[in-house]
Amino acid sequence: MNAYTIMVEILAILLLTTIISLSSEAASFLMLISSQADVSSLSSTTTFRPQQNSNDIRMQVTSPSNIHGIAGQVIKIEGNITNHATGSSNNFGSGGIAYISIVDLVDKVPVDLEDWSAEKGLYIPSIPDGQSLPLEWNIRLVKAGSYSISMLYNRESDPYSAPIASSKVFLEVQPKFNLNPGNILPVAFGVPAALLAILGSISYRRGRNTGVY
Amino acid sequence: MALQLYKNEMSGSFYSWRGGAWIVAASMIFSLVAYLLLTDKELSLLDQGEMLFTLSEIVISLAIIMSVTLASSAISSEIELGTFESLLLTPLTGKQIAFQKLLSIITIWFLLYAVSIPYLLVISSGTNLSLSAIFYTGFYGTILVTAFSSLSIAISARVRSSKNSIMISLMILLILLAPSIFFATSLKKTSFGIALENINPVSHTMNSLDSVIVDNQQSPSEQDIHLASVIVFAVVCLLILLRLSHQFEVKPIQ
Repeated sequence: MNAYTIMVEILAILLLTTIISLSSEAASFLMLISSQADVSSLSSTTTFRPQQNSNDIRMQVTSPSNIHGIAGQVIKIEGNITNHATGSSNNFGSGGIAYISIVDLVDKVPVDLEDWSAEKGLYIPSIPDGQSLPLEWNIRLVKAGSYSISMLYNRESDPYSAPIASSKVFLEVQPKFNLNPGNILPVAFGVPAALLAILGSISYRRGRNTGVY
Repeated sequence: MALQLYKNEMSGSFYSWRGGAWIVAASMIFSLVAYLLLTDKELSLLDQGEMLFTLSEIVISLAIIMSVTLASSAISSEIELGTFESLLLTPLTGKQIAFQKLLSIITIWFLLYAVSIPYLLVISSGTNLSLSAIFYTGFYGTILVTAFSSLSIAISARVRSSKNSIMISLMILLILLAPSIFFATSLKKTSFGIALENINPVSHTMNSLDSVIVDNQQSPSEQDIHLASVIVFAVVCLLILLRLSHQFEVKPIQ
């Protein structure tokens, strides 16, 4: 096995990965098309899944409605989701995905949750009638500003319905300047200077021993 | 002869001040990054975890680039200078030659790592991240430097031309570094990006550092998949070097 063989094998693995991922993309695209076809054929004929009224599900925020924090801090947003339905034979209709939405009130844009929260959405298979489930999100305050946070819930049984939303939490994030918390200057200048001094002294000593200096 | 080659390699690396100039250059890069992160008003708005993660990424990336460059000419330069034949005539076996050269590169990584510790400490000042950042940077750095150096020495012995082995090793390194450095977040989330990240030890390292330093998941049990992937990669690279080191020989460059 020579280096070229290794290179060829690595390239072959990358090529294989590309083919696998492209085929999986194609497969998921085909599944999406077929599921949309299924949905349209079902809606044109009959609906046989028991539906729950969207008013049965309520989301409530239990955290304070106004939160003040400092950038870098981690806060907790808590709430609960309740299924107010009574007497239904099963709870399939109550399952869905709970998630949060953060809107930047200054820039008037939704915030990409990439750095803000590791847990973006939570799948809830079902909520028993009359029962509540606690919900909790840890949110890192990445950037200073004014934000509104809402909890939302998309019911699995009715993908075309509007999401159920909680009341908003208003969040004020103050900036935190990490200006030189550990005094960088001695390290930034000291380490290269110390290394130069050490290498210089080794070189000088070696030069003295060999008669260069 | 025990570790004689290792001692020669180390003294060769630091024979004159020019030999150690790279470590001063590396410390200046760390100084510049740390100084900008902590004194620039815009950058200082970043969370300390993000700053620490950025520096850890730079330390590890620099270490891998340095080790690949050194290792990919380890055997080929001996062949080109005509000294490899005399090295093979010593009582040292091919395995000993390969592993003493590997050890000298790992030692140089430890020097670089030692230089980076003051910077990691200053940036993590006031947080609970100092020990984790130092431990994980050191651990992943050591494993990746060992792996890439082993692979590069093996390539160097096979290709027998420093120019070609450096190019091949750097290409492999760039392919593996690409998802972490060049891929946008949206591309990383595609099936291709996810598949590439799952088989890429460098991505596992960067994702683990992100998880430890930014997301505060500091327990090794929370990093087991990343740790296992990087260790498996290192073992495979060491096995490749071990296998090829039995076949060290001097042949004319074709």
